[in-house]
Amino acid sequence: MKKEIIDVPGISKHLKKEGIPLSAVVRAGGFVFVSGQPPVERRTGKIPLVSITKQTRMVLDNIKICLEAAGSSLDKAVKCTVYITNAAYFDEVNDVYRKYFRRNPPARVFCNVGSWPKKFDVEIDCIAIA
Amino acid sequence: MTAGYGWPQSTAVRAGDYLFVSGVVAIDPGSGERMNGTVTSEAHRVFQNLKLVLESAGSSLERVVQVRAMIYDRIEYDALNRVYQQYVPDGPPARTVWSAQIIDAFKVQLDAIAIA
Amino acid sequence: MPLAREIITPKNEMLNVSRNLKLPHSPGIRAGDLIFLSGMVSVDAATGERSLGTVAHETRQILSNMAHMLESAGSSLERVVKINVLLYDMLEFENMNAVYRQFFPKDPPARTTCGVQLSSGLKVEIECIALAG
Repeated sequence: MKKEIIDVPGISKHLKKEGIPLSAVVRAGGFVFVSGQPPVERRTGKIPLVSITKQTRMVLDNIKICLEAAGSSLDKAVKCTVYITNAAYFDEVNDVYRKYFRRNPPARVFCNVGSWPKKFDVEIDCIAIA
Repeated sequence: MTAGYGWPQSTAVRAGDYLFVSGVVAIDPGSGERMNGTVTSEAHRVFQNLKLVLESAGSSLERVVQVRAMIYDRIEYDALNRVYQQYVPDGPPARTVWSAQIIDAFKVQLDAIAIA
Repeated sequence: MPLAREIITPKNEMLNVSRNLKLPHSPGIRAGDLIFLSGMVSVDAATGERSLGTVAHETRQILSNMAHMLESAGSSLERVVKINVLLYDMLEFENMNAVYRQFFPKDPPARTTCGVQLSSGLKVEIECIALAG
């Protein structure tokens, strides 16, 4: 039983360049584990200052790409944890989130956390079936 | 029974040999009404809801392998534990606890992974 | 037939915080191909006492102990697939990373790091899911 590190186009290279010691996606034991994805622009590796709605869209687009790079998909997601800096954002995050998980959405936990040292407000991680 | 009644999330998802459970908070499982209270009263409600979710999916509290517990203030750690140990089996699941603000002013939230 | 569920305990009993502090959790559980560890804080491996310090110190202590915990179960740090790092203050992210990198120099696991309140003045807590041996 091995673990496989999956290279994700537009995401893994930025992690490597910044020396961030994590793999965006790991596949093992029949599951895919996606690291917490902040709203990073895949083209530049930067986090733009945008609305919570746009941030959530960027995060979920990144998760989609991570899952697909591992041969999985959003509809195989089983559990997501949503980390946000301000509970006032729940509704806006939900409005975007429900567009990505229309049927049989994964289990989910919402977690209100302290700010990150960069200017963004939402991060999501995910476990999916491989 | 899980947070966000009517939200885009499944209460629990079965995948292979495991069951992944969404965050559970103290709501009435019939009406969805919030049952905010003390850490003690909420923790009892949370465990009863968790038990309902697990058993509906053919699993049980005995099969839980990992729990993440959030409390609104770390001062309530002992209060959480006093209730928690009444519900977990001998050989309790792995656990991580931390404090953070929880939705809807709840004082406790749990999520879990169990054997299906 | 549901998977068997097995409790994991560390060979070094000083690291069995669950038992030593009479807490309602197990150090870890194995179920099928996966191992789930309870969140670990910085504990002195010789005395079993909490070992508070800088983020760097606590991270190093936790990951050394985690290696021992996984090895006691026939697994290893290399087989970790997902880590959650809880930091008392996300401004210390780089201080944690500098040590973390040393423990996962190649093919690191998936990870999420967030800022939350921990107990007892501790600065770091880490939990993980790993492949069984």
